[in-house]
Amino acid sequence: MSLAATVHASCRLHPLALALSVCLMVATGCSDPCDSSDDPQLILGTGVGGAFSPIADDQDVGLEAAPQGGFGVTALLRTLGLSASDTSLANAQLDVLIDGELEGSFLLTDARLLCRSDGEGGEISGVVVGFDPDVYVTTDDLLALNGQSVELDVTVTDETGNSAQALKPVTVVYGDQD
Amino acid sequence: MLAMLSSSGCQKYGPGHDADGCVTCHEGIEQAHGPIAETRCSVCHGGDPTIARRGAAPGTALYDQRKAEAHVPIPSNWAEVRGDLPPSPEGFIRDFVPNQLDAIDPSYLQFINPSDTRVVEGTCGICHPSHVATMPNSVMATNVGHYYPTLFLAGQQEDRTPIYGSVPAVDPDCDPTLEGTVCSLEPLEPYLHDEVEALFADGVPEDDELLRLTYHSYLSKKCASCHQSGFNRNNSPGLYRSTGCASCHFVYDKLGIYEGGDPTIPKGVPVHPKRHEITTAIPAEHCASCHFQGGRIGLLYRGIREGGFGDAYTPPNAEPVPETLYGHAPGFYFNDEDTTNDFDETPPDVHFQKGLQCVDCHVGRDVHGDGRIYGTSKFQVSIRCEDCHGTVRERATPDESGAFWSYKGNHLKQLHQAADGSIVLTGRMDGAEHIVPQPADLLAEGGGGSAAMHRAMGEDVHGWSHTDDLTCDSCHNSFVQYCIGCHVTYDLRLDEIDFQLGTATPGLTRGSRTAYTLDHMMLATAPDGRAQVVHPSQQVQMSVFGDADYGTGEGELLHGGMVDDGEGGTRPVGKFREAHGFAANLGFAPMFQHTTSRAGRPCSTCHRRDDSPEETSRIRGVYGFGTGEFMLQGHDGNYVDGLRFLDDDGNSTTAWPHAGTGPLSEEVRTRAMGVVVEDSQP
Repeated sequence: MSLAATVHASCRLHPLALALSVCLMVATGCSDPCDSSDDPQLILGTGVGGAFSPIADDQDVGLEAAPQGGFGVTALLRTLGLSASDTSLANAQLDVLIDGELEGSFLLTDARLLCRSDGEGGEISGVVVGFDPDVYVTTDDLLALNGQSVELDVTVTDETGNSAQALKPVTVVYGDQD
Repeated sequence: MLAMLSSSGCQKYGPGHDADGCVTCHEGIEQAHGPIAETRCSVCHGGDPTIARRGAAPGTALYDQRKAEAHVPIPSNWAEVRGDLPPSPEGFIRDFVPNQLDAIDPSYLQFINPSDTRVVEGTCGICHPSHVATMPNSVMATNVGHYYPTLFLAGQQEDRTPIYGSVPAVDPDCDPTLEGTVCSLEPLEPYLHDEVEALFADGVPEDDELLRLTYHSYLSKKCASCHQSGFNRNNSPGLYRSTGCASCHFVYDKLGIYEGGDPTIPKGVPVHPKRHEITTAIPAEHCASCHFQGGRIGLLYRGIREGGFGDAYTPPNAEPVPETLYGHAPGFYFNDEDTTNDFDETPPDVHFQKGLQCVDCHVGRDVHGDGRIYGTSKFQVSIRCEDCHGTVRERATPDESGAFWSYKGNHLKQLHQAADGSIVLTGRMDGAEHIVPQPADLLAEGGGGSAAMHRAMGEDVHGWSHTDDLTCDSCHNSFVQYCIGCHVTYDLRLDEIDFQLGTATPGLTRGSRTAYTLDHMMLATAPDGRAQVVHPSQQVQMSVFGDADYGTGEGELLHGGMVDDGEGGTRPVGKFREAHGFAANLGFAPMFQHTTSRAGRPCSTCHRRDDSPEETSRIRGVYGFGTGEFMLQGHDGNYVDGLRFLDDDGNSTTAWPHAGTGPLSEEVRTRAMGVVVEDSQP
């Protein structure tokens, strides 16, 4: 665990100790996870309705086929140490690589990077990390991707210019294959 | 005192007392509905209102215990019903589809959403019985308009009588003679694995059976998530909404983030309405959570063009919408076609520019229905431009009581006549008063109408006006987007979630268009008999691929053909819909554009500028004789013009899905094509 993560963990306090934690933060330099910091972090996950399941290395993740073209992975992006609030905007570079080669690249601009209600970091929901729709077109292309090891390479840049990157090796799997 | 009693544990809650206990945790939540006190949560949600927090701190065992006592318990079958849907908090049902919601304990459903159609009679229906009675038969609930046109054009039903809906519907008082209605609908039945296995037990089924499987699966997988009996996907920006009355009357922003005062509702994560408030002030953006598909009116009205990825859909200097939206990565939608010029080729509808939202026109029967089962919105929607703007000859006129009515008898409460005679529309969202221009006033002597306006809308020497035979929107539109060619594949090698069942069923369905254009406009006959802009509608070319599990070759092309790919090989191409005596049912549908412009189009849009062959050919394209620009290759290698619905002799080359629609009459076409206008005429 990094120093920042250790310090962050120490900030997860029971509400009754909130006042004390504020004092400790001030005294120890513990930063607010929704503020820009020197050691920002980005975690890719899945889930709906507030659930967040971090994507582990080499985990199978669902590959979705958009109704009118395009294949991609729908992900949640959680940040620590990036500027997040009701009004914060961020850019997200969403790349996917196979054997180090770029196989899809999208830039999400001016996305709202919201601070979660527990205050433990920011979140951008429902982001699609997609494959190049000019290359991956047909169902045969989808079948070729099914079971493929890829790297999801996501970089979020907050409105202060501070960036955090996550490079996550996963296996993309389409639904239930017969 | 209340606080003292509460903290001391002496305050009593629930019926007969000042408040329900819910508010001791949900302190600060918005009052959902005016007449119901904000402290009476259980009137709508159920649960045990006598339970209160009584000082228990969030995160403690005591707090959790009291929460469990107060809330309706999560049904024991929740995990089973949820099945393979993505990870969620326990009890989460806000991405359930109709059959999953049917399987959940109604008291829990009421707890989560009291306005869901399955429980609404005991909640909203207590005070709004007529709405609750008519809503189940509305096209918003039945989704019927997405089913029968496709099935009819594919030869899966004999005529245009709607058969299927996303949910069953019955009108016990139906009048079979009422235009565009039916007495009942049965639910579309998706095919399950064992049914598909049975279908293929003796080999590849006959084409008719194969296509029934294909089209029923296609519609159920691709169309069933957009009606109010089930939730939207609720997993991605633009796709957030509830069910039942709250589908529309609880507003979600495109991120699905709660902005209200209840400390227990998580901020920063979807899926929650913006505020815990039932409202009729519904922004167009919320409507677009469903209406980004179909006719795309939720996009067009706001000046957004659906594009696609790649050069074929992306002009060199276009401005894409830079967001993940409606399940697509950034770059699928466009705000502007060319940022190097000083105008927007796809501007928002003039009403939207003035601050009007969908609900400023579409009220009452348009959205709630009237108990009849209409086959499409074309027959349910009761408003037209003239209801607010009047005709070229008469101003819009209130009845003796001062009330305005749509031409089909819908009370337009948003309109009133001011003391100076102006017709005024009060905006639902902003409460602003908008004076509604009356063409009759402008065309009257001294009214200020331009020469072009008189030429286009005024009466000629015979007392005839274009508006007698042409809908207003046919001229007053700023752009028309045609999507041409729709390659749909149904591939049995993969399963896909079915949005009626909530489970994966055989076959992955996907679609992609061949081309789009903003440069053409065609006219045909609308259901009211006038000419209107007509759209290519689902120009499906269907390919079906088999799977070894069903006894076919892996990926074997079961429906469609192989054509030259231009690179020394072949590629599969789907078959056009062949039925009702036509080899290629491209399907065309007259449609109100929702891209209304203040100024009309130039006369030369529909009339020749000169006698040149080029002009003659261009104008013939307007009336359905094709443009030759968008040639769609069929499964046999032959080409069909994607913007053509008449052969050289003036006979229709396709069936028309909607009753009363079709090409303009030969007499009208000939007259219109015979007119030559000066190039300078606006």
